[in-house]
Amino acid sequence: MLEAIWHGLNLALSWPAIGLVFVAVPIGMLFGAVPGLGGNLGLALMIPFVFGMTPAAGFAFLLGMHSVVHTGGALPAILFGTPGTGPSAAAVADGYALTKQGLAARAMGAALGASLLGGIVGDMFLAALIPVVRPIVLAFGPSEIFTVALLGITLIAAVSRGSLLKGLLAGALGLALSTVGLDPQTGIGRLTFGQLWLWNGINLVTVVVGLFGLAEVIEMGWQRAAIAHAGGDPGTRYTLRGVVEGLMDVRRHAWLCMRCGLIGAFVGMIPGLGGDAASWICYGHAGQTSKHPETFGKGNVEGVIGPESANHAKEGGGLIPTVAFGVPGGSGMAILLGAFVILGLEPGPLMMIKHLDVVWAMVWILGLANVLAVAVFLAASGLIARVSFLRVSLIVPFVLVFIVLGSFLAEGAWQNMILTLGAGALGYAMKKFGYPRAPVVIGFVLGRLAETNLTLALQLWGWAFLLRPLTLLLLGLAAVSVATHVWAQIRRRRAPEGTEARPGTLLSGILTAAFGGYLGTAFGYPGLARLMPLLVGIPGVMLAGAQLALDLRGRARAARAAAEVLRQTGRELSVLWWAAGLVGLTLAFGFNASIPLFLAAFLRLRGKESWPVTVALAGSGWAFVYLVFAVGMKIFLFRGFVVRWLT
Amino acid sequence: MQSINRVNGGARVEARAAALGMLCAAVLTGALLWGAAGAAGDETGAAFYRDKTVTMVVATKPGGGYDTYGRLLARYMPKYLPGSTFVVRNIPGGGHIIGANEVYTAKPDGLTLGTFNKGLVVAQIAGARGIRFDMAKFDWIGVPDSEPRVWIVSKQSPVQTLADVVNGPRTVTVAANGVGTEDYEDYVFLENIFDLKHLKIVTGYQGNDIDLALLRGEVDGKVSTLSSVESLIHNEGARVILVIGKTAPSEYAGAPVLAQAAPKGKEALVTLMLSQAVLGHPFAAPPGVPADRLEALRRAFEQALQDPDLTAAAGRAKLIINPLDARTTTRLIEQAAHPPADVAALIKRVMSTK
Repeated sequence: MLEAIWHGLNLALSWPAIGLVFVAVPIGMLFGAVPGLGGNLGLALMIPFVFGMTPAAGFAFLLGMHSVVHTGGALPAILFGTPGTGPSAAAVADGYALTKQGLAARAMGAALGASLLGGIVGDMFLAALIPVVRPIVLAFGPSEIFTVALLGITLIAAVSRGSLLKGLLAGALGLALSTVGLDPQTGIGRLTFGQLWLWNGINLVTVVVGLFGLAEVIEMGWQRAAIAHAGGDPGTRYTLRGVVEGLMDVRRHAWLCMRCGLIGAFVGMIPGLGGDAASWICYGHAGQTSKHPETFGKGNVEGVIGPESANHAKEGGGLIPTVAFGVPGGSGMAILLGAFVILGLEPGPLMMIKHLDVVWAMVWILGLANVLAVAVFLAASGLIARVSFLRVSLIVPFVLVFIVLGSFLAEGAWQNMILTLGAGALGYAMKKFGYPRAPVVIGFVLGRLAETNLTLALQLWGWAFLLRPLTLLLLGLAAVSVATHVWAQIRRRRAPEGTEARPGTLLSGILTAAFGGYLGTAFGYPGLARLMPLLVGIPGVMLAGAQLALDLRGRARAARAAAEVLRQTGRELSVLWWAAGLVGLTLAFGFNASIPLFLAAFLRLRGKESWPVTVALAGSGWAFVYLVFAVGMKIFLFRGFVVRWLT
Repeated sequence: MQSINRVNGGARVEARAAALGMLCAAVLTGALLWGAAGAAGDETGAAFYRDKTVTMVVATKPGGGYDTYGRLLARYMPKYLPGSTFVVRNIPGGGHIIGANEVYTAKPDGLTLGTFNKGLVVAQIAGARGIRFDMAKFDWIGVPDSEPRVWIVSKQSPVQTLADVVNGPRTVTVAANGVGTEDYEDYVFLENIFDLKHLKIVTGYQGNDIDLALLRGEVDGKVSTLSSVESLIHNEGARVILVIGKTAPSEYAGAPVLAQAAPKGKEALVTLMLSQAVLGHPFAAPPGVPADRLEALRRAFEQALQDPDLTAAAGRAKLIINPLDARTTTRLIEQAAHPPADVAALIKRVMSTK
């Protein structure tokens, strides 16, 4: 064993493997930072390059790249509130709130520290479990995975500080959204409206860039100050000292970070549970165990540490079933598995015997890549500082371009650009009316897992699956999770409901109607396809109705506040129209025309920039997109209907 | 003061808007001219492809079989169409229907081809909504990976032979991705061919999770391409109980073969299953590609699949390279698209869910 560890280190540090890790880390971070690209596309594009590499060099390159994707994803999530990947959206709520308080450096430092520590925890998990992985992974079938998802869903309550009712309503909305698409059990389309692109369900990236990214941009868009000046002390700057302070936060919350690392690695290890779940479960866990739950979602550093730690730990966890018996722990791992075969490594039980040194080399490279990613960020902190203190009017158009581009790239469906506008409007309304948005994504990610596995379990065992020993144990855990939350609520005796009671009659009215319609259609589905929509729709209608009743009661009292909110809203919403304009322009003329035109129009007309600045920025924005995507990665960019019709 | 500024600002805004409009018009004109120039080329065959970009549509997300073969061919076909560039475009969704629609409705200029599930022929017969193509009318390019499909059972399953499945009395549980997917079709067809009374199809598994379900013991078996279950057979003791092909590969010589094991009177369904099984990951161009360009594409496809570099790369990736040419592919698809009335009725009955 010791020999294998030593050999593994030598392999990892051998030339050219070590050099390739250096090349791979920035590439991986780029794929994470640009919304819609993601690690899987990165792997698929880079696999041709590993043909002909030695095994050590090849997996050093791919693994190095894959393991830092979410470190890259954290950057736009924290600085602009626009997550680069689905899992990194979990860091938006608190990370971006910190940025608005002028604490971007601290949030980034915490994210980096948590990435590093989480990555190492996941790595150790991988190392420790190498000999005993098989029985553990095989113990988790559909019934157990369903209960883990259920456990995660109960955490919605924990991240719904402020208003439990609104949080649960948001969670129900996420769960309802997760049922859109073809039901795998019956093949029937649910809420697909005859649209083929909805068959696979709503795309996660599309939802998160709209719900978080676009909503934040709408709010920041009308300001002329830098993001960091918007809400807080203008004297705070993005400094290395700030980053170090964030790292110290991780030390203060080391135990939380380790716990989330373990949870993340575990979730990553169970195939079928999947990596998206890891960061959101840990966001919930951080909320549940926080000593300052009242600040959660408003800039609590624990809300950054939890998900970031899980994000990186899950890669180590995901490698376990992949190498140990050739069953990938997630979609990214499935592509890696193919790559390992190309490199002449046959994942499976034999690999643990014949190539144990290679497995250890993977452990080393995962650790090394995580350290490197942090180093890259520290080295680039000067640059990041400059970006975060640019005028908002300079940042907004570029963020908008990446949001729209990301929602298209995520699945190559133009309809997703429109969906993102809708998600943005929803996210903005939720923010205005005091609804937490994290529960939507928790419900969305875990809802699919829960339904898929619940219906599998019912087909296999009927309701008796609830009596399987491990399932019972996990159900017990879920019950404890709910009970502790209820207990904490009772003990705290109703925290003051917040002074910013705003009339959300419009939103709660729409939600009530939407859930009513949803429930109505649910009765029309056959067999098991009906189960989840009913389980979600009935409480959804009740929650939305309750909220509507509350809003209607508070309406007269808050009428004056409403007028103020509406005035502000009207101003802010102009950014949504700009975004819609960008989408419209893209649909008509394609990205190649829409990006420079939109950038120029925004910078000149709204930002009142000078012509040279306008032309230079719009030109370089277009050149970046064209060179990186169309030329460099040979990715298809939407051409536009008018152009299509003309040619 | 303020109002004056606003007026001036308004005028400025108008001027800018006008300028933008002109810029817009310029861009449009440029695009038109560019398009016209592109269409003006009159070279024939392979020469046409010089300095052209070919779009390779893959009807799935990145990763997985269609993407792998699509990218492999996109890498090696340009070698035999000198001067061409291939760009892979992933168009997932709609159970491959969106990708297939995209290929079918693309301009038939020989600059678009794509790969998608041949099982769409069954969806087409069932009358699935959203289909804008006719599988029999595509200009088929060929199949890189023709190989048999097999029905395997896990080591711990009490069912170990086809006879066990046919005779019962034990219920045999098999795992499928979902209603209407390829493996689901296989089970329904097999159920009909062998008149299986004890088959339980559990739907809703995602991809590789079926392998785990097999290892956990919650299902007895699954139907899949041979190459994808070889590791289960060699490392986990899974057993082949039926080869869906005309003959068994030498390594599994003892296993029953569908062409022989099927009872009399089921020939039409057996033929459909056999042709579907060997079609692997088929490649097609939209109907109406000029003959010389189509010929060039087909030749480049065949040559690329014989390229020593490609076969070496595929060998390392454990990818099957066993091509079917365009003629065979077309024949098999046409045959499948026009089944006898009873088979069509069966398909309509069990598959029309959408």
